Amino acid sequence: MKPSLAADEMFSEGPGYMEMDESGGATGMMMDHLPSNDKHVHADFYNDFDDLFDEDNWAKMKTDGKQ
Amino acid sequence: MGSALENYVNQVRTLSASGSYRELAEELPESLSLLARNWSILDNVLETLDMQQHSLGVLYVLLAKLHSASTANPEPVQLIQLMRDFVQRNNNEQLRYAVCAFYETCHLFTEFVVQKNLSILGIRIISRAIDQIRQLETQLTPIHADLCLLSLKAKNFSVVLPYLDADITDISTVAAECKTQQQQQSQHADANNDAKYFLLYFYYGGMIYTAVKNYERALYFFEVCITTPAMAMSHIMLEAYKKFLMVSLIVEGKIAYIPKNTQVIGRFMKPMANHYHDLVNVYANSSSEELRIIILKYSEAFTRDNNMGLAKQVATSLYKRNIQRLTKTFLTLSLSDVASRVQLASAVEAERYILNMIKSGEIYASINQKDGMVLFKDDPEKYNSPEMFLNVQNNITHVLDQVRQINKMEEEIILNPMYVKKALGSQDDDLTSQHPKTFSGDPTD
Repeated sequence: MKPSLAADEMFSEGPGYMEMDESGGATGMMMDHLPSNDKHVHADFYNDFDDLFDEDNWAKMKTDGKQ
Repeated sequence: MGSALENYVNQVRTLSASGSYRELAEELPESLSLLARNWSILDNVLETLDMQQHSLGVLYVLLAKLHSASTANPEPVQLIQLMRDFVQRNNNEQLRYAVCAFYETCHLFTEFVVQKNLSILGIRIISRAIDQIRQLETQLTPIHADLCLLSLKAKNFSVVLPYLDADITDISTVAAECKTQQQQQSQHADANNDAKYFLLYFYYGGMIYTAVKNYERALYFFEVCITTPAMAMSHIMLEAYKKFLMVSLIVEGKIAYIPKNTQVIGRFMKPMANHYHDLVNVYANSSSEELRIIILKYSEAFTRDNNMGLAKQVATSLYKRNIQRLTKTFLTLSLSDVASRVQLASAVEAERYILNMIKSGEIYASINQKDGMVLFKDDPEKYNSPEMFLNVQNNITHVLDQVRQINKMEEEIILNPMYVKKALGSQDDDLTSQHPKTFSGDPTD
């Protein structure tokens, strides 16, 4: 999925992401609220899940009758 | 009931009766701290309000109850039932005036049921909340992330998958809603979390698709997450990047294409995902043994990230990819030959892999049990059946719908005053910089 020519022409100078903020694009708008003075954000997001990709876990769940 | 709470009830009843919902929605945030302070008698307030007629008043009582949940320690089943009743019976017209408060209520409710280990009870409630508040089926709201979170915690994906399958064409944000409703963003704790919920939706969504083994769609979700324009690195993006690398290997056998406007990946994420890049490099050698060694070496890190299961699937995908390679060279091969060439432990294991691959349509082959030989075949699809014709037709219709949608969105952007201003500004810059060259002489020359 390459960026369209129109986008390249629009934002050919400088980093694309900064220009996108002003363009009103959906994702550009989202990042208006990321604090630009912080290097890292969202360190406290919820990510406490079991390993959902381990087939052994799913097999165990099925034998336990949880699903 | 204290006089302050009586005033609250009177205000809700009077303004609701006169249909002054906007005025009510503007005044209610000021009562939130009062309600939270009086959490012990909020049920008395609820008794005097009707969910349908006084939806805004009930919403703020619910919000106060959830705000004070850590102090009040309410009975989980009662609070869940109250939330369920509210999303089933509220007046959607009134809710439109307090979208931000509704989002906040849903976030706090999700946090509450996750804490109480009752995530499964929240799934239908948040799903109903999304149906109520979104204005289009393809509109993403901040509470989509809550539905994904609850589904992941409950390991139950049947409700959330139709939401994830809808391609997003519009985003509802707290910032935009507060602006529309002329409310102070500071009244809502979530006003600065739009980006977080956007990233969480695509990160959790990618995890759900990975769990149900829809790897192509998972890769797309992780890609959206990691390529979201940003100036700082989000930890959500970092975790999505790690999974993106692994799912890339499963889908494509290498790192999938990443659009170029993603400086944050090179600057912040690559150095923090060294183990995963090592995995990618070793995968490129096609040696299952080397891959097994590197997975063992980094097993602690993968386990810490809850990615060990995914690492095992990466290993499985390399065995499969190597078996697929054999089909391009050989017509027949013994099972033990297959095992030794792809570094599987035994002929039995090779047979298990081949059978699974035949079943999922990844290869076309038959196994002669008598002499333990595998006969690799060509794809039997001749693309001349009515079913295939229908399939192609459906795909064409889908692509045309997407083109229509993209054209519509492009038109909206072109007509956006901000875009026009920006585009004209760029042209002016170009003209200024080119001026001496372009217009220095006679234009007819």
